[in-house]
Amino acid sequence: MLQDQLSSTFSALADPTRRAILARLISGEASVTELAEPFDMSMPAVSKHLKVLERAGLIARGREAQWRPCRLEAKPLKQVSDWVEEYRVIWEQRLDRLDAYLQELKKKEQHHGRNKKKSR
Amino acid sequence: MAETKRSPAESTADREIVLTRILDAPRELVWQAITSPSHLVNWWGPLGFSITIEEMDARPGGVWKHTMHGPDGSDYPGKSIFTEVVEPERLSFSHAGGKKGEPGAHFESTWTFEAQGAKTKLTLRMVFDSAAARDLNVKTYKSIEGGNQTLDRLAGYLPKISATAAASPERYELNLTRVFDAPRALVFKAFTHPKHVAQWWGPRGFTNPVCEVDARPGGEMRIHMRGPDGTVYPMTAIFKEVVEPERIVFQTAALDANGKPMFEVLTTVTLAAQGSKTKLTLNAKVLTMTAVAPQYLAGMEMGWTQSLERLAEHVEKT
Repeated sequence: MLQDQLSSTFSALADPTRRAILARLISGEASVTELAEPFDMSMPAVSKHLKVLERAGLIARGREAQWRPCRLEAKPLKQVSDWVEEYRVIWEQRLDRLDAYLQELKKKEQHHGRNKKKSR
Repeated sequence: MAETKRSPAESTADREIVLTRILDAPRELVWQAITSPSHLVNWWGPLGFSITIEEMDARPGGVWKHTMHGPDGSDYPGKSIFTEVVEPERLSFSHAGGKKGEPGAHFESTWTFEAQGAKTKLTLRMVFDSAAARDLNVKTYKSIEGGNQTLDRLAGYLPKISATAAASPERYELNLTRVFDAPRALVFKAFTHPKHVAQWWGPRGFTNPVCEVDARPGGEMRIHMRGPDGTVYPMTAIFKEVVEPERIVFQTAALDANGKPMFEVLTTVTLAAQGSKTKLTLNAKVLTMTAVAPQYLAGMEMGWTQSLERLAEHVEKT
């Protein structure tokens, strides 16, 4: 179910608060309280964002401690950049073909122009 | 011995300040932190200083006009002209400024960025007009101490942006540029007329037996790409914007394995004339479900059967 995960990863990443939370987690585990600190936001609002991130597999939450630290899961981010990379391959090839076709088209138009002149 | 050969580097040795620092960030990121004003304001200047940037254009000949504010409230207006900008290796500028009532500060500054694995060795060289000018600057402005503090602040700031960069949407967008040896009108035509699109749209080895292109806002593009093994991959897009001959924006859906749209992709193609050539810039970004509900439903009706991802896999195999 890679695709389902991809779509929820993109949705999760669309929100600037969630991106900021992820950015914070890159430097290490953090509690909900710590994550809420830089934002002017209620704890339930932050918890909601964390749930979205958790569902998307972007973070995992510890069970061991009372404070259930959040940590970043890198795999979905990797899948997202892989997807973009595949899309790049498609477009690179398309543009290669467009390039070759344009040269053909140019030659034809030039040829056409010359014939017109001759017939006058 | 003083008359023996002096290399150019040595020749400024008595009138320069050189500071180096190994920074725990890739060179491109360090370059960004220094050349983009939105980053620079967060760390520039010695401890306790802040900076107001009026203008900063990091291109050769570009101006960087700013005022530094000291912890005691005094202002240090300054103006630099960029003389060399070689991304991401070297940045030079000529600086003139100083504090009111104090001797002016004038020097040529060169920042050198050397990649050392995932780290960067940054060398900051300030060359003054004379040894006396340097000594005066060091005495008046404590420039060595201040320079080191500025580098400390940069080192402290970099982890913040490297984290943000890892989670930034730019990472998840596709950006391509290509220069075609053809006039812009022709490239636009090749991109918007079905007869032409059919000739190049499919990836390598593909044909496009169905190719309908209605290039106007709200118009549809319906293409069946036929792979070398005969498999047909239908795709549909909706044009959002069509500005002849410079801009084409369309929206497509990426599909999952069952042909259901996962998310929408908004593609913006910009064409810029460069003499008899044309520079094409393509940006594709993923839109999320909430932003695109109507198109999402439309996409489902189209009954797309393959995701771009599977298409890409297919392409790679052939």
